[in-house]
Amino acid sequence: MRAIRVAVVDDDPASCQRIASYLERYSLEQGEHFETATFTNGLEFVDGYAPLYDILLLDIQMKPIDGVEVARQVRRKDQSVVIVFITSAPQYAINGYEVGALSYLLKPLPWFAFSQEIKRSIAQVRGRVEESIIVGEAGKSTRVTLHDIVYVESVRHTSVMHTLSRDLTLNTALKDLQSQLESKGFFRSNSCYLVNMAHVVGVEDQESIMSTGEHLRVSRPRKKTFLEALASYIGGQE
Amino acid sequence: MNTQILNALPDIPRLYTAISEWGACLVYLLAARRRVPLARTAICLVVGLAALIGVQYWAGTLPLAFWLFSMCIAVAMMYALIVLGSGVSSLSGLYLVVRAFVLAELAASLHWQLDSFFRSKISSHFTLVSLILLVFIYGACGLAAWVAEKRNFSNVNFPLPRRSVFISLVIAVVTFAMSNLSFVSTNTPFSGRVGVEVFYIRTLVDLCGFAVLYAQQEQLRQNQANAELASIDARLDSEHREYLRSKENLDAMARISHDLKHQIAALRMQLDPELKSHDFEQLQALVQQYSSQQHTGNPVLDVVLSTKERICAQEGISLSVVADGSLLEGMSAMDVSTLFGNALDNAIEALEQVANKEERLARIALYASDQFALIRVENYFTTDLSWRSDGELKTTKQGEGLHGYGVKSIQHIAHKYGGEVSITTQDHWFNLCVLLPRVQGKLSQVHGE
Repeated sequence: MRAIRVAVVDDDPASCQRIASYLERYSLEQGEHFETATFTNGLEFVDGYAPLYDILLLDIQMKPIDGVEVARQVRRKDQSVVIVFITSAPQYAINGYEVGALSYLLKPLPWFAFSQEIKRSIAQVRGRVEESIIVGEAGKSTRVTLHDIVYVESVRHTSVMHTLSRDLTLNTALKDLQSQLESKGFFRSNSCYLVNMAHVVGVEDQESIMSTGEHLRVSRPRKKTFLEALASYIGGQE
Repeated sequence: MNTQILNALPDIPRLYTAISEWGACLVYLLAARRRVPLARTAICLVVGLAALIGVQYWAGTLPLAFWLFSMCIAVAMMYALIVLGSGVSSLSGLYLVVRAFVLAELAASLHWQLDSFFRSKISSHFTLVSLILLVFIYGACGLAAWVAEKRNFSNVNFPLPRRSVFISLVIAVVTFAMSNLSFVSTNTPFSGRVGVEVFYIRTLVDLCGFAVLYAQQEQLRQNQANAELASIDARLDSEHREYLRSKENLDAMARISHDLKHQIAALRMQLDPELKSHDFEQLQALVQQYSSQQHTGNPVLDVVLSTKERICAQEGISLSVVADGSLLEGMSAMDVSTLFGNALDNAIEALEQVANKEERLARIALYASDQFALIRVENYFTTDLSWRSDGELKTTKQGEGLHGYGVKSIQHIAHKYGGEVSITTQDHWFNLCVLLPRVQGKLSQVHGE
């Protein structure tokens, strides 16, 4: 597996050093490879920022600009980097949701908490690998990226796969697609729909609202398990 | 169908059967809460009556072997009438239709028993009296059932537990089988051999069946009422505990301010500037620790979090809170404090079992994801672990014992706002996620379900 690229930004060189040594220890214990870069000036880091990193470890109380501001500016250029705040005062990190940082580490940094947070961040980075499946359409095989699939609909004996760009008519039964995709964030919400939970943006009464604006009916007996699956799916993402 | 019975009497005319089935459906349509327009119910009733009569006459043309099959068709029609006419879910419909069916059997059987009795006593033809008897008996049975069941069904929270529906179904099937045994064969220990006696057995068994179903529903209603009471009790109890804890915290604050006074006095005496600045730093850190107040944007959540944070500090639990309190707009103060209070109590309870204080980690996140508000409460845990054959640690679901009542209460609140709860464990982490749909940017309570 490729190395995880980490940037550490902390205006206290001693603190930077400590984090770097923790990363080394993690690497030794877990066999994970890191490419680590450390920065002691948030402003310089932001000015030269390019979306190269997988994980950002950001101190909050920094000068001339604080970690929250650094995160905000980074988010404008990079939506996917995992941001972890490190702070000595928790009240500064409570708004972390604004930049997609849903947990933080408290200074002085304990090793165990650090290792758990890194483990989770790595899982998040690795979970982003774009998966795809090969489907048969009109006699030829086509590769479809899973994230592009909004939902699959059963139409008589065929299935219609609605992707972001076009609709594909497949000879595969919905049941077979379901067994293939169920473990990958898809849910059979109705006898004729297999929805990609990544594209479910809302639920109203008996309908799920898709990112494309479509409303798909959720069958009454499946609604509870659908919402449970959705809670677990969305809650598992950052 | 009663050819095997000695001194055979004609069995219930098919028209009567159809009317009693239809009447029983009407009783349950009136007793259950209607969710569709009145016009739809009325149309269903009209069409349903025609269909039930049709089914009965059509069944009359079939050979005797198809009798059971034709009964099933009739019940299916009743089921359709109830589900379409009231708009209840398919499961609730099943729960209602078995009652309607037993009631129909009871009324038809009772009427026919009386009708046969009077007819043999007085004369063989008195159609007007027969008709009056029909209206009177069916009407009386229907009215009595309606009065008895109305109270039972007006407050029932559909959907029902699957198990209850299943039990009802079994009761109805057994009632039907027992009451009709004599018509299938007279040669069983449970069959009557004389016509009138057979009618009496049928009426009695149907009455018993109906009474059992009634008792079952009554029991279910009682259970629901008790559960509600228990939940209210638990809330009051948790509020009281909350109060005691806040009071404890106030005492702690008083103690700290007392300590601070002493430290400041000592600081004044300190002459060495380097030591003095060191002391100041220490003091500042101490003050910061105790002045950490949450500002999530929801005042109730702030109070809950601040209180729980102090407990976490006492227990050596390191808690990370990222929360957008504005997402809770629309949720009552009571629900906010119960939901977060319970979730955090569960996490704290589990973490108290973790021996190594470094491992006492918890995270809370409240954030928006598209049109959902998501509440995620996670804690590390070490209890309930077992070893897998390959030497790896396997987590067993950390369940009822530790997160028993609290989770029920969280689920109750989630359902109230149309949401759902998911619980997963992975890598020593217990994750509780509450998904709440937001309508026009707000949470709102759903009714009816």
